[in-house]
Amino acid sequence: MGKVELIFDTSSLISLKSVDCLKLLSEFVEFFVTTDVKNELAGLGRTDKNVETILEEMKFSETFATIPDKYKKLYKWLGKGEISSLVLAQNENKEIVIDDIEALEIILNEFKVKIKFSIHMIYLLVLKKKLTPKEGLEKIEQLRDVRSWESNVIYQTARRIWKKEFNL
Amino acid sequence: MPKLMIDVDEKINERLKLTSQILRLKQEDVIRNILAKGSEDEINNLLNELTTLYANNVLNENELERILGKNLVMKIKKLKTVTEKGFEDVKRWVK
Repeated sequence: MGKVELIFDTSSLISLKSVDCLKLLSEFVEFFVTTDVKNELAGLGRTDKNVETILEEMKFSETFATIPDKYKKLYKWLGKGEISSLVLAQNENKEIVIDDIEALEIILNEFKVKIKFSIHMIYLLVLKKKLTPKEGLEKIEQLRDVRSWESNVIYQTARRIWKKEFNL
Repeated sequence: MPKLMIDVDEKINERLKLTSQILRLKQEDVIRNILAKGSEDEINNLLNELTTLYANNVLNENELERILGKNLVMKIKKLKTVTEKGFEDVKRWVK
């Protein structure tokens, strides 16, 4: 398997960094980000050391994506980083890793893109034996926001897959 | 407000008990009441329990739709589908 080319939005990068998976992924994934995402990371990094290290540690292929006027109505639900990433994914026919599940329906209605969540990247690390299935499940549990029922759908689906494939 | 008494793990393991309509009939009023008047935490807890049952294929789409309505179930279904499809895709990358 060569490196998979994926576009990441800000939230997915922060999620994967928070469970120490970002660096591990760089062996298998080529990271594409938009200039807006890079700017968001730089902004957040001024007050959050953990985010700051993302830009220091990671090598990104950066692209500027112009947001067409027709998508500007989406600012009500999505940030500039997310919209520019979705535009880039659509224009370049690349898959996108995005964790904004509350806006999933809007994303699916407005863009023709293939979506992955952060947990799918953890699954990749398990399949590539960079993490044991138990470690992977623990990281997925860490990513789960217990207050969000949307996250629970993803978490429970992942748990079922883990049970079936790894007997965990 | 009466509390919804569901032990999720127990339900997953005991499908027969679940389908004895404890959830679908006896507690349906409680569920509707929580969705209509519950606090954010109560609604989240309820949706967590119901979506756990759905994600684990204990409740099917029709059963969930009857409780939650079509729009919400559509949203849940999309989430589940995108998640499952994502796992299949990643598996294919590695092959």
